[in-house]
Amino acid sequence: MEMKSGRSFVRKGGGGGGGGGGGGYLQAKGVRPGSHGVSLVSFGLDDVDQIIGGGIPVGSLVMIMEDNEAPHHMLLLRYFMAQGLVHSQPLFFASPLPSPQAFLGTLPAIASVRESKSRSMGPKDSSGEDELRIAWQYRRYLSEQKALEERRLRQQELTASSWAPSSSSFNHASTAGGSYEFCNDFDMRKPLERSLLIGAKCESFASGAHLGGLLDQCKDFVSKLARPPGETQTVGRLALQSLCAPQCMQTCTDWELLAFLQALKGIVRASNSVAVITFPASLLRPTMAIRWQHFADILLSVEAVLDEDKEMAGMLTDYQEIVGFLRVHKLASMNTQVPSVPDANVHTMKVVRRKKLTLERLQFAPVDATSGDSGSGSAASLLCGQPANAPSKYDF
Amino acid sequence: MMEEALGWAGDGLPPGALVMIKDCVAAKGGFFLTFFLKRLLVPSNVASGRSKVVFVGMAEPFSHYGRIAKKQGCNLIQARDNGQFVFLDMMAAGNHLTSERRREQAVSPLQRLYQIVNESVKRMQTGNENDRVVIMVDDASLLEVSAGGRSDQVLAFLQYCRAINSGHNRCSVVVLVHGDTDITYGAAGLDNGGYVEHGEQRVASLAHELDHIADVVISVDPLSTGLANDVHGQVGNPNSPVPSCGI
Repeated sequence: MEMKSGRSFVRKGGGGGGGGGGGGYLQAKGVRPGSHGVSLVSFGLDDVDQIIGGGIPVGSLVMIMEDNEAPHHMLLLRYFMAQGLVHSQPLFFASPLPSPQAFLGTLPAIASVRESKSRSMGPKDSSGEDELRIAWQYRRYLSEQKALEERRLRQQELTASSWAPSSSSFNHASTAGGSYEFCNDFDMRKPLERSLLIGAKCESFASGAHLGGLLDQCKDFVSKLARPPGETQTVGRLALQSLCAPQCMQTCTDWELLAFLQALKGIVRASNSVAVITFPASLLRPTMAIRWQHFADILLSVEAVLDEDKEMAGMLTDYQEIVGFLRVHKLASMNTQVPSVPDANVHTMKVVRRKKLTLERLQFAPVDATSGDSGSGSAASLLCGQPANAPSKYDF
Repeated sequence: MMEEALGWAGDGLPPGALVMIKDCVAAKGGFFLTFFLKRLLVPSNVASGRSKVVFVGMAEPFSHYGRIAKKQGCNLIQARDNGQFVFLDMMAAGNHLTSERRREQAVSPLQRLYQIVNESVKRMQTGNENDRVVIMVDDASLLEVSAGGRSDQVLAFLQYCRAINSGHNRCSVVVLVHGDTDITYGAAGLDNGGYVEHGEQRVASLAHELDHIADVVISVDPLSTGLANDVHGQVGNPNSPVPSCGI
């Protein structure tokens, strides 16, 4: 291949050219404007959307570090993929499972409207609405309070998204095809309609991953997303599960995987797509794991909770319901040099009535002052972000 | 304030200097590059000459830097059209560094990148003998990935860049590198967000080797007490006795 001159590397035109992160916001189904000129797509779970700052920026890479003990990352992937299919966004799914198509059958369906409406009416204070048994005289103040809260919340949302509202409601938007929700409510007990699964393309690397081929497939997938400027754009979703699993590592070296990640990031950045990659970080060498982390725009990790952890049970009030923890390591800072600081680093994952995954802040039980010295291996330090046995100078 | 900490005279980087910005997962150092861009392309006093910048961008596309620089009052698109700023976009698909075909070529990818950078510098020469050219690399750890893990090739590339002559002066190089990729202990490195306690066992790595040859080392770390809304981290300069402020 002949050597091209330096000019071929200089991007012509001011950063536009149909890619995400260009001049304006994307007008597409399921895409909402975010701050700093990036457009956002939903993760599929409104709790996760709130945690990562409104949604996944188009052109970014979300990496989720798996826990070897529990498959919670699959739960998150299910929501991500289901949301994409519901919004008719093309999906590419690669996995070490022998038949990824079968996994698509476990994607959740949209929750029926009746149930989701009742939930939006006031999940937390539905008891307060009708059943003020003791302070019944204050019932009339409750509705005022709620209206005030809602107005304040809407104010916050409007200023946070820096977007002139074209519709009154935060979660709804309308395009030519009628109104739809940015982030749908999903019900894990029912599978997604089979007709929606057509938009998904699957690839299995159970027999060893050929990275060059995988990269070419991603490139093809992404090139098909490009539309001429006049038409409505569409955002593609790439979901790569367990990328450094042993099946993958048989056929390629650490550095080849990193090169693949670098190329993938370049492809995703230059196009209207988002990628979610899960990887078992503990299977990588530490230096490699840190390099993988640097590639991520949004870095999350999932941790399983032990069955019989008495210390943890003492620390948290809702220990019995928790299935795992979601830890936020890094949030996206595209088009800005100011890093986003998450409100809380650790969130508990709970499955409510086998139907929906919820993420909540930690609820600590009151600390028992008479208990002895917690020592360096306490559950408290685990929750506060230090490794359990680190002799940190800031022991909690 | 940052200039005092770095000890700059205010007329651009000293020729032949190598400035290394070391960051980690928890605290990214990208903002320093845009700081340098602004300082170099938009000089504070008219008397001092303008520097020219060749930017090897591997981590973010041009639009990212353009947008940030615009907020700071520096128009990168205009600078690019004036010939003062050249952006080598390594993220674009089909570029030499990441294509499969590179393995079949006799010349290594970093050698080709050096040739391209050299040409760009030569093309930017205006005949003014006092022109300074600065080569900025974002970031060197991705260069290492392109080189297949050969950190010696990356070091050679950076030293060669430093030796490029433009007029009277050699080029200076500003490079961002990840300083936390050389930890050897286990998954604890993941739990504490990559913040490395001093004195941990380290493996010789690119950041470590660059530490020795760099003239100025700026390290960006998160706060040891955790996250805070207003202060995102701390900046250290091992050459000076006074630690820099939080940002």
